[in-house]
Amino acid sequence: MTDLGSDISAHQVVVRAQWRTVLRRFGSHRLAVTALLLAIIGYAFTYFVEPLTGWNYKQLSADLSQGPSSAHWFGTDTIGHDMFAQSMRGLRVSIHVSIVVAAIATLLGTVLGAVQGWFRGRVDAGVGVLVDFLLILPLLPVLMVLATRTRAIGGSSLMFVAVVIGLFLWAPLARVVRGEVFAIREKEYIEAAAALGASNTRIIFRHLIPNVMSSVIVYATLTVATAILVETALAFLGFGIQPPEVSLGALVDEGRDSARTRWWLFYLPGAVLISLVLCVNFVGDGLRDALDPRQRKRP
Amino acid sequence: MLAYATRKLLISVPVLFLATLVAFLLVATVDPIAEQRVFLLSQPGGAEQVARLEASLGLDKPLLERYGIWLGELLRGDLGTSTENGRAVTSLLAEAIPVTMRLVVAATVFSVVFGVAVGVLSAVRKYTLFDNTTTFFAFLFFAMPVFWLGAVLKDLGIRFNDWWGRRIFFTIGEQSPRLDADFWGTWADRIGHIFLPALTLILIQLAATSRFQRSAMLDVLESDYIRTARAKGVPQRKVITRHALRNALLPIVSYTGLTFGTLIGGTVVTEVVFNWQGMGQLFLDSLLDGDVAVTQGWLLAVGVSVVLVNLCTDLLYGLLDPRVRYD
Repeated sequence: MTDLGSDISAHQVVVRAQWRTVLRRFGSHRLAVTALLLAIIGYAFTYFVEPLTGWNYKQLSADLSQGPSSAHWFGTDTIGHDMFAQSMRGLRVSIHVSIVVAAIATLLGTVLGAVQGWFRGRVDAGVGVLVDFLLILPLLPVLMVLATRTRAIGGSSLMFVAVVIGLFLWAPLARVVRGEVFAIREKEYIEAAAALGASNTRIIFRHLIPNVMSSVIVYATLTVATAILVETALAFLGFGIQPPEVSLGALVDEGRDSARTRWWLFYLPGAVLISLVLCVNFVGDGLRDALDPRQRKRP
Repeated sequence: MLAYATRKLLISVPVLFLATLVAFLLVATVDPIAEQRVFLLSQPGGAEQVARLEASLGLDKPLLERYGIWLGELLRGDLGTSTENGRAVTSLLAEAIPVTMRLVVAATVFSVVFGVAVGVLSAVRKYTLFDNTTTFFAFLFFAMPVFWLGAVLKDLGIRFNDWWGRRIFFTIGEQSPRLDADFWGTWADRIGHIFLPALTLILIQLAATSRFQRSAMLDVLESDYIRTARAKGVPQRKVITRHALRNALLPIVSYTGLTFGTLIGGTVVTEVVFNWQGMGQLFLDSLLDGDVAVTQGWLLAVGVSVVLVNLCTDLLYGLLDPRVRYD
């Protein structure tokens, strides 16, 4: 008689956690991996700009309105700022702001969406009105008003801008999470948890939310991209982060009038901005493919 | 359908009310006479003059009462006057809205038409050269900020004009100043001006719309009834046009409503880039001048239009898809 135990060990059953599968699938998405690496390297690079090029974003050099050169990789503006140092600073600011925005929006969207889906009834309707309102709200004008209203209390500081944007961007995720919770709340394991006397809080945070994490992660990435575009648009219109702090939007705004004569002031910060958003979108795309088992592989 | 339409209409009422509240309160605590106040208080007898000024603008009343008065005036078609130039807010809006409408309508119509066409074609020809090319451009334009693309197109337009030796693209304003032309001449001039700003918005909108339409079409193409249609021998062309397309067109209706608010934001930015004297500039000026009545009127007009557009798309959706009427 063969020994069952040795039989199994001979066949080497590999236990794979779900996140490993996801990681493996994400890893096979070359574009997404490249984009993620580029974004990480780009972000790390912003901390090495000064030792490498000799310039920081506040320094004023004697070279005014110079084109790109080995000394000033992105040239200089009319008052002698090194545009590469400025663009890299803007890149870092954009990444910081967008991560804070995404964190706030994701937290709010996940919890409120799950609460809506679990409690249903009046809670659902109440939060639902807010979600419907935020979904159709013209975000940019409202943020412009808020920026002018809050200037006196630090409304143009980096964190403040990030928090305000975050408070407005949670609605799409809340709607998705609500829909998914509606679908899984009838499953046996949720029923079992409720029957064992688990509290609402426990069910929401231990059972419902972990099971909708796929959508949450994908939406969090999308929110990062949206946040970057919103923050730079605000800065472009002069309502976002104020000098001496740098935003890619403000750099593009300053450079746009001289796009024909001093192209580097306009096109290069813009290219950095687009590259960042592109990277984030590619990562989001890769995550969606990796997390969504219904997605079929390319033939 | 009647019950559905009534329900949708009834839901819009509190949302509209909420919109008036937000429009009023967002800037209600801004002092519209901040500059005058500083000056007057430095003058002898200025305090009484400030009180007089406040009373004339109704600033001496509590906030809620002011809201009530504002709402009452609003129902009579009066949104107050601009503190900057003394003109009625309604007439300022009446001048700016048609200008912006041209841009919004052009952007919506073309981005929906092209977006549907591109999306459906790339879904039907999944992973072909056409699909890959449109995917590439969709990603590219999706990552582009409106203000950057606008400024790039403006720059390219000017370069093209220089190279051609004649002005083909107008890059400043919504129409030529002091234009003396007949009806057709005026519209030809306007179209020359609208081309680049509209293209800016269309390209950005198109990126998202075509992807949305593509996935909607793919969802439908994978459904059972399409397989049934194919199995019973319906030709491919007919499967696409008769069976798939009709259902795949539904989501774009509500999508257009939901993205209308974003489009308004994009329009504000585009108008600033191309120096249009429309809603964008009006809003920007009112914010920078602290012109409270104008800002409130602007927010209200935009809020109402967003709610109405969404009401229309909801009703249209109900008309097209019987299922949603009964949920």
